[in-house]
Amino acid sequence: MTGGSLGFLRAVRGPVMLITLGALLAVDQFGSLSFARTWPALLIIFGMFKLVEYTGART
Amino acid sequence: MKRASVVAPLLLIGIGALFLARNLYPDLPLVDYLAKYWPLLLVVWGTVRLLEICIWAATSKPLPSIGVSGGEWALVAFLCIFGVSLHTIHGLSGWWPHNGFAGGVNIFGESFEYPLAGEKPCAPAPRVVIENFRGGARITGADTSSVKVTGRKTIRSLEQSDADRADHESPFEIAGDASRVIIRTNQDRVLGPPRLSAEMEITVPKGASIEAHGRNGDFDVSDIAGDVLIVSDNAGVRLQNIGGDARMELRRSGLVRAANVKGMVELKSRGSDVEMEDIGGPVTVTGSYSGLVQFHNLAKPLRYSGVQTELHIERVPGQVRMALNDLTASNLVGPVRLTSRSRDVQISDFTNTLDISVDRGDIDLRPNQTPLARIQAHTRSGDVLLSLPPAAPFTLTASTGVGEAVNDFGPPLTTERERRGGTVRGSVGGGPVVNVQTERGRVSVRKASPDDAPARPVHLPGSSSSLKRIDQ
Repeated sequence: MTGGSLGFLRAVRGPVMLITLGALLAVDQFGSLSFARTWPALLIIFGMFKLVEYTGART
Repeated sequence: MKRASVVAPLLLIGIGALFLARNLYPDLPLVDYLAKYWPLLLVVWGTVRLLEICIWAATSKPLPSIGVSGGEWALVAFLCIFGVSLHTIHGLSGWWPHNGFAGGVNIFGESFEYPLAGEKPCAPAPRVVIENFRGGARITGADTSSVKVTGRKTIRSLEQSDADRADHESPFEIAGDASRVIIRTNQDRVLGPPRLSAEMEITVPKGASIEAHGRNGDFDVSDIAGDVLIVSDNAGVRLQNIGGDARMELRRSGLVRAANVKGMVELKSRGSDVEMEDIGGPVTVTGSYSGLVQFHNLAKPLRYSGVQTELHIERVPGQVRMALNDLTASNLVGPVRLTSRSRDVQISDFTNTLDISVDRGDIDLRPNQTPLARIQAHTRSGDVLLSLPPAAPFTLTASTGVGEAVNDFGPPLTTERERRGGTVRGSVGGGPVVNVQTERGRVSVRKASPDDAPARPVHLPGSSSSLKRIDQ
């Protein structure tokens, strides 16, 4: 993976996390799934970004 | 290289637009919208930032090392705290999707339904109390000597077992004695999700009076001779053929409609639309309403007290229609008193005295009925148009501080030009004082022509259609 796409990944990480946070809070308000139950999704997405960066940096 | 984001200017524009909207439409419930939709702000923010970065990447511009900076995350945290507290203050629980409860529409989890039924013999004129209710209730008077309930309970849950447990925890019961029947759904015993709602068809003796306490949901009451009291956090209400008084205290409301009520009607809420038609007693409406407020054929005084508008009319044989920014009325019996911050006012065909004071808005008066009574109208900013019957006696002063004064009435009225404004004045037969004034705007006086005779009171739209079953 090139340094350019790694930089892109790092750059979009924040916005994607922000969208997820907003979506989870919206679900909390509009639906029956409370944020208290869905917050680990944030960790998973953050972890996935880190994983892709890690594998990208190794190759 | 640190590039400036497009989010900051958009944020400024958004805040500016919000305050501007608040100033132009003071009755718009912007805070409510914010309390409801604030999480979507985060989504929009993230999307804009993401698009921006994608565009930069596509055009090979240097990318920022991180997409959302520490300062921005701090702002996000602040927004979350603000949103959650706003949401808590407004107590918006289970408000959306409002109609989803009835239709069984569910985005998250499934709907599980359980039947409700019960019957209890009672006196000919019982007091029927509905406690702590969430959902929709249709209450109808009939020639019967018992209170009969049929319907269903809907529980939204991810799993059947959760729903069964919630059903078990909220047993339906009809308690009380013959003169006071209590209908309990016990929905409040189930805390948190899963969420419960009930649809009930309640048949009561014709002489009954109704007292309903609800959290969220619609009430449809018809054909009863007693009083109706509805207290709810969030409700839509339809009343039809009520023999007694109707009182509604709703923290928030959708459409509130009352038709053919013999007694007084009192409404206190923050909601959208209000329709009242054929009311025998005095009508008092307080609170703030963002939709259409309509009155038609009121036999006793109307008192409307909103955030920006105070209105008092002795009787309304015709109609009054108030939208967010205007008021149109025809065929009124005065005295009429109106004060408002921001409204265009058009009143035609009224008797007795009229007092209008508007901060910002045009005034259009057409007192077609003779003899005229005293008229006092003042706007700080807006045009004034006065159409006077050609034959009626009056003593007129129509003035503008800054603007044009136009005399289309002709003699014996005369026009005086002042430095920046003007006055039309004169007297026909030494009649009552008619005094209209604008501080900034055009003032014109003309003869009423048969063309602008007011439209006869039309039947309100949806008069019959809006009384269909509420769960349709």
